[in-house]
Amino acid sequence: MNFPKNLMYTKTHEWVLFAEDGSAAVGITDYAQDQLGDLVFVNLPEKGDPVTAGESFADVESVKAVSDVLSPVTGEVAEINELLADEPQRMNQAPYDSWFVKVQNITDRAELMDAEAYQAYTASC
Amino acid sequence: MISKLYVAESPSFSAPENLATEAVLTGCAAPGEIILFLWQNEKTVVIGKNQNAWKECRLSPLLRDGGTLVRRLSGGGAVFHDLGNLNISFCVSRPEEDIPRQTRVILNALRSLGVQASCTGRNDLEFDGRKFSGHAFYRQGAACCQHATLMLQVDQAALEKYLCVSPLKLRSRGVDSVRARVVNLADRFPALTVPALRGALAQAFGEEYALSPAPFPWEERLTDALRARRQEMQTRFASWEWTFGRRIPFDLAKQARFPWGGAEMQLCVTGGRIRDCKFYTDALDPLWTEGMERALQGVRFAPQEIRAVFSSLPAGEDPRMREDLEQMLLKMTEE
Repeated sequence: MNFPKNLMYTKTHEWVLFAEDGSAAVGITDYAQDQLGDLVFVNLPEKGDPVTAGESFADVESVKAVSDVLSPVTGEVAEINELLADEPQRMNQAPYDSWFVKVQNITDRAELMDAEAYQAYTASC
Repeated sequence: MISKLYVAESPSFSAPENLATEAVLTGCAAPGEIILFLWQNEKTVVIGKNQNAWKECRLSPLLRDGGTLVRRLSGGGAVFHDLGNLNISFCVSRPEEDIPRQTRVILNALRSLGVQASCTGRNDLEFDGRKFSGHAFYRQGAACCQHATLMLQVDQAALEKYLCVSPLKLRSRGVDSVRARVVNLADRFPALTVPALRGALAQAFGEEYALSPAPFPWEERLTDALRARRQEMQTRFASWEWTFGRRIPFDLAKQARFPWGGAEMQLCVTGGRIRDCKFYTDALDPLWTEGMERALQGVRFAPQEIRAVFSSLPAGEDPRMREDLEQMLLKMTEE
């Protein structure tokens, strides 16, 4: 299991990467994809949609299960990763390259953990 | 730990209403509680959340026979419900979700009725190598729902008629159904009935958790806010936007021969609306076909709106062509 040091993590297994320009990329963690199993579909929001920290902004389907993905930040969707819509298996193969959305105009964030804390947290799940 | 069991039974046979009730029950299951919800739908094809409605279901015969198509919240493939099928939902909050245990309730209920069934790798149940129960899941925040169909005496001819593969050339994003050989349990166990199964499920539910299930206290738990939420969900499940209008883009094509020549129609549909339309033939006035292609852009891929477009088009050099093409496109919406 991989826990990159440069990312922050939520208790609901999303990762977030803050960029220097104040925007953030968001995806699901290695632990999440491992727990979910083979991912076959992703529903992404649209560019310009508002997202709220701790609330659902997307969902993924794996082995007949649809699971919500919660946003680690409050802001506005600046970009969506269309590649995931065509190749959902990327979320399994490379979860930390598979950002779902980039969020800009961030005004709030959920409770976040660093890699070390998140690793300890997953061990207790 | 689970400390409270409830059994809820739906008096309705309407799929949008039952799916709305299930979603509300799922959202209101408190920590420590698990709700077993039993429900049946009249003739309905239920597709997975991320499926293409046109690809998975033969709409025209379904609607002609008075059936309904709905999209559910969980994943997976298309299934057919009628009153020979019983739906079984487990509504529970996340820490207590235990799929093997919940599935065991169904297996034990069947065992008590003399049926030795087993679980497959896709979380379905089968008897003698044939599937009779399909399971799917959704998780929204802490709320978790596992629901299952259970075929006792489903009209299999109808199932095959409505769920057969579309004859259209159709390319789509979205989740494809996985075909399985199915069996009605009542064919093998004629004494098995829906009421007997309901009783056995409540019994096995209590035994699995070593608690006595109580009837779900609707009056007490269904606050005005939840009632309003159920109504809102029911309207959504019954809406065209939810079932057909989801952003699952697809392309489809159809060829046909008419007395006036051959024709091929190619469509690109997104969010249930025609985004692009291309029509190939050597028999028509190109200006007329271009006008038709333009008029169809942005129109809902639904019979009523397509009829409205064609009635507004000029007749062209041969009025039969307009009529034939309209029929061709209408058939595409229904196949």
